Amino acid sequence: MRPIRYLELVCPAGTPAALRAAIAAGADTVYCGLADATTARNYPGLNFSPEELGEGIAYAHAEGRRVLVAVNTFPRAGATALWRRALDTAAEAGADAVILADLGVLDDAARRHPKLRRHLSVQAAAANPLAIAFYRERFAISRVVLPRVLAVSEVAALIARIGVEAEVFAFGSLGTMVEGRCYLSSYITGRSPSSDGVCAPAEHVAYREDGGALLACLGGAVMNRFAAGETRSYPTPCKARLVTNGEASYLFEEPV
Amino acid sequence: MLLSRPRPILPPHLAAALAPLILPMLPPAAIERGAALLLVRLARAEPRLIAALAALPPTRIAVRATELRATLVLAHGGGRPPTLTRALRGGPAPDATLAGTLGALIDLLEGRIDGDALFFSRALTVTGDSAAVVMLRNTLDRFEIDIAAAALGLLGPFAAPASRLAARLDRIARAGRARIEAFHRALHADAAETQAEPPSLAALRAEQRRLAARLARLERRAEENPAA
Repeated sequence: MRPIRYLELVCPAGTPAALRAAIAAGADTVYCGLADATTARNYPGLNFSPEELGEGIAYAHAEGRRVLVAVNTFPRAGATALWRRALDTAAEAGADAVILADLGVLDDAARRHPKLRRHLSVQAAAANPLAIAFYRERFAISRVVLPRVLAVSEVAALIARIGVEAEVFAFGSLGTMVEGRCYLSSYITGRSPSSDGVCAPAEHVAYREDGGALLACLGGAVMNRFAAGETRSYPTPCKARLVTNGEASYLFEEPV
Repeated sequence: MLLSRPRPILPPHLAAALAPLILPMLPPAAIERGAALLLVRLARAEPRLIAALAALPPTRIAVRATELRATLVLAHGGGRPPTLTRALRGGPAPDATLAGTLGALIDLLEGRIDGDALFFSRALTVTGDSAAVVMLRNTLDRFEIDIAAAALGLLGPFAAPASRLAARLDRIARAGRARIEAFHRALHADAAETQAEPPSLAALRAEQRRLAARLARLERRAEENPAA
């Protein structure tokens, strides 16, 4: 395995082609998920079948890189079989670690796959030393993925105290709601990002022309209105243009 | 095995560069026939792509290139192999329509440019069932599709000389573009020199250099003391 430099470059891969591209571009590690509700990016047509996961891990290992498998959504009450199976699939495929958020899934992984490295997902929203210590002591996590809204100074302060590896997002959305529990998405679409794995399901997205402008809608609610010539964006609630005090602005986060 | 396929030998962007020059000259029936043959070639080159499209829910997506007189309909899913036919007046309405320039559509198909970027920059427009288009786009992204190679494959024994010719034309075009860009830079060199960099940008560059140097020292220290 290629030795990790001081900073390990971890890249997501939504498809087998993306996994190869990430490795070719120099990623030390790639993280991905299965094509079902166990991953927090469960968009239609994305992610890996068990067979593709095995092939992808074999390819990455042949190149001296690592693959982490995200099983980072929260099972529904009484319907945990899919998540248990996902853990088994990741272990059988030779994953270097699983990325987990749910307490029950963490416990199940620790009991049934004790040698499989466990990383705490950003979806667990563990943002202070006490919370991280709980997961470290109870489930022997090796790494925590820190919430995206932390400042660099806060990240530095945490790393000094938590006793496990830390992973931070260097690129992408902020996710300004509580990680993995976006109530805006649930309210608008009736789908749960933390259980169904999408924060703005494509089947709830619609674009409508409106007198030369384009309305970007989610679940029938208008998230944004783009003037002619203005660059458009995907209608996620946290990047909606909202009217407050009579003025429209990107209240939480600007779309990338 | 999917992951051991050799890399394409043709220059990237070839199909996106040549298609807008050639296809608008063809009648709609010829475009439809060529598209169907292309699909057959793609199926031979990447059978998993065809299986993946067949596994999707039954969907009809109209694909309209702004330079062409024909709109094609991609019917896929429901366990059947995909078909690519010309949209006929009075025919069944598609579930969605994807429209854009030939170059943008080919870039999307070959996964060279992120579909979201194409859509948000208005190079592509989607109307109708956007989830169906997302599903199609994500499925296509799983595979490395080379339109130029598939199209040249239609030429049979002439494919090899045609690909050499196409590669040579592409090199000539790139060299020409490079000369134009160099001329443009030289033309505006004086103006660039007198334009001072904004103080905020200069400060960011200095901060970037400082962080890069610090990271390099940390990496050296980590290599010298791996146990630390």
